[in-house]
Amino acid sequence: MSEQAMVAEPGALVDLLDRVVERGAVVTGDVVIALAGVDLIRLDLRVLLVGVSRVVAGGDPP
Amino acid sequence: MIVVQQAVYMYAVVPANSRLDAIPAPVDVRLIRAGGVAVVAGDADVAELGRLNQTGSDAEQLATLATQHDAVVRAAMSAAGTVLPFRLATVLTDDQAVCAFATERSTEMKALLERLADTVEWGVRISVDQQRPAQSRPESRPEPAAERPGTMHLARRRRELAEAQRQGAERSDAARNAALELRADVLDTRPNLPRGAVLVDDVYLVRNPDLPRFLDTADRIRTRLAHDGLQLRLTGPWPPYSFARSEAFHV
Repeated sequence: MSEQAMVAEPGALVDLLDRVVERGAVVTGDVVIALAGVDLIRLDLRVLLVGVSRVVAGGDPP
Repeated sequence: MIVVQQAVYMYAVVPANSRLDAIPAPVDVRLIRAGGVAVVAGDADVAELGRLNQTGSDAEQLATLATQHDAVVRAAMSAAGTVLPFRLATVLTDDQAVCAFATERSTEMKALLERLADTVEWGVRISVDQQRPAQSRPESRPEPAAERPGTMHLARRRRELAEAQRQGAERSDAARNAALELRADVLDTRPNLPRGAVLVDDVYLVRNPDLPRFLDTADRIRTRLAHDGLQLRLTGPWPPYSFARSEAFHV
C-alpha cells in the first residue's frame, strides 16, 4: 500500500473541490471581501460543480 | 460592501515557529505572524476571484485556483508539519485585518493546530461494484417439472427478489462493519450520508504514526469487501480540510 497521494484518478478534482470549497476554516465578518454583494467565502458549491463536471471527464456526478 | 482591487488571500494557519523559507509554495506567499500563530498569505486578485461568483464562470479557472490553493496548503503542511487550511478564496482586506483576525481568534486557532498536529485526512468510499457483482448462491432446489409455468415463474421471481434483498442486506452489513473497523485506527471521523450505490462515505483524521496501520487495515478490508462485490476507494493524504473548523471564525 503506497502512502503517495492518489489524486490522479478520475473524480479527484471533484474530491479536491469538495474539500477546498465546502470545507476548510471559514472566516466571516466585515473585513472579508465581498463582491457583487456575495461573500467570496459563500461561493455556491453546486454552481461550481456544474461547471467543474464539464472539465472532469468520467468524474463522479455532483 | 468593501470595494478594493488588491487584498490578502489566506491559505492556512501554521504554528508561529514555522519558517517561510521552508515553504516552497508554487505562488508567492508570506507569513503574517500575530496572536501566536502564523498565517500563510498571498496577494489576492480580487477581480479574478470575483468572476468565480458568476454563474457559468470558467470551470477551468476554478480548477486552477483550487489546485493552486491545495498546492500551497500542502507545501505549508510539509514544511510546518501542521496546518489549519482555510476554505478556497478566503480573502481579507489587508495585512492589518489578518493580524487583527489572528490576534482575536488566537486561542481557537492554537487549539485547532494542536489537535491537527502531525495528522492527515483520508477519504474512504465503499460502494457496490457494478462491474464485479458478488457470487450469488447456487440454486439449492432443482426446478420442478413445468406443469404450471405461471406459478413457477412467480415462485422463481419471489426467490430472486428474496436473494437480491439478502445480498443487499449482507453488503450493507459488510460495509458498515468495515467502517467501524477503520474508525478504530483514527483520531476522528466525519461521516457523509450514504447515497445510491455508495454505502459508506467517511472522512478520517489519521495521526501520521498511525498511518501504516490504517493503510494496512484499509488494504485488508478492500480485499475482503471485493468478495462481497464491494469496492473500497481510498483518497489521500489530504491536508485536514474536513477537520479545520467546528464553527466559522467571525471577526
